[in-house]
Amino acid sequence: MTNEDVNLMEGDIITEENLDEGNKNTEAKQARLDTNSTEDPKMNPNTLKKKPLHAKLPKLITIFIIFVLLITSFTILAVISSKIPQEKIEDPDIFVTSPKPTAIISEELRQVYNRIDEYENKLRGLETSLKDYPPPKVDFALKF
Amino acid sequence: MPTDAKIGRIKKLASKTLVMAAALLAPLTVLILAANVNSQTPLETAQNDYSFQTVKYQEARAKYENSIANHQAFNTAVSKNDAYLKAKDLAVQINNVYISYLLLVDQRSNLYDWGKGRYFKNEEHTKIEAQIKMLEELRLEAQALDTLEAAKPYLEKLKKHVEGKTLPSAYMLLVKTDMSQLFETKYDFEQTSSQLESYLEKRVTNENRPIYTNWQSLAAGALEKIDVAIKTKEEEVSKINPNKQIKANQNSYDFNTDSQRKLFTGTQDIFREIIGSI
Repeated sequence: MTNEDVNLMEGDIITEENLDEGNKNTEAKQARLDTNSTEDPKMNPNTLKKKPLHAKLPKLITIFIIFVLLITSFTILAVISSKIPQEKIEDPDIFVTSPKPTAIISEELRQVYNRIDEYENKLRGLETSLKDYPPPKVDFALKF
Repeated sequence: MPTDAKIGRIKKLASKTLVMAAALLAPLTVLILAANVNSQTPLETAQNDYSFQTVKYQEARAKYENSIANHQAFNTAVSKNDAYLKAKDLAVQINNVYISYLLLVDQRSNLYDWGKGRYFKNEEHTKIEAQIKMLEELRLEAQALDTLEAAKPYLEKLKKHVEGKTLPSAYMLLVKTDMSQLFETKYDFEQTSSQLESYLEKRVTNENRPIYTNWQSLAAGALEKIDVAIKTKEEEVSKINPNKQIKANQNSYDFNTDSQRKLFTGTQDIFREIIGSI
């Protein structure tokens, strides 16, 4: 083997070593990339943020729409029910009774109480009168 | 970034949800509104109609004022035509106000049992119906107005009719309704008192008889006062001229039964008290 051959061989060896290192780096990089993209996709920062949102977006919209519709319908019901005149509910009179056990109220007495209640309702009707129905406010004048 | 396919799926899902919700809510809303309308009493319906016609009149009046101001400013055939149309609408709407007012007053009279008094509901209804018919005929005249100049004499004629016929009829019905209300309440007082006496008479003992006797005189005294007050008012009503003119710009009627109504205040306590005592 001549010195030229040796130099050439050394050059080849050096070149091969360089190439090997480059390949190793490339392989290492490729290995890292492969690890990131295939073994655990969740670790990809691009998909990490968006995938849950992708999964949840339709559901969120649906829930939001249903919520708005429920609130709207409840409001409509509340407005309509507020226009219905409320019955006046009065506390019943409390009668002081003896400590003895009280007898069951008789049918006749019940009828008397009902009659008094009806009379009381009639008295409430006396609150409205002719004063609540004044003549309409109309101007007949026509300016030319 | 979501893909187009995903965006498309989201849109489809949202639109399906909206359609389903609308399909559920629409009949529900219609049912609720229908129930609300049906739950109104005839008096409430008449009151709402009168309020509505009053608002429409105010709008018609405002539109007329604007149109006549325009006509005075520009004095063109177009502005005059517009003023004429607004005057016609105003005339029609005035009729509507008085028609709805008569219907309201008529409905109010249906709340009470006229059988306990001296007046006859059917007679009063007939008079009111006749007045409504006259106003409807006058409304047809308003719809047939053909010039702006014709509107003024028409409204003067309408005013005269309202003051001489419409308002006096409404007034008499209101007066007699008030009186019938008093008669009916007095009758109820008598009936309640009588029923209570029948119940108590069987249960009074020698011990509590003085309480019962005093209660009887108290109830009789209250009834006598009410009776005298109502009779006095009845005489006053018999003297009212049924053709009495009532000015269209009058804010109220000059008849009231406040003092008679006050006599009923507290009478229910007379009944409750004696039950507790016996």
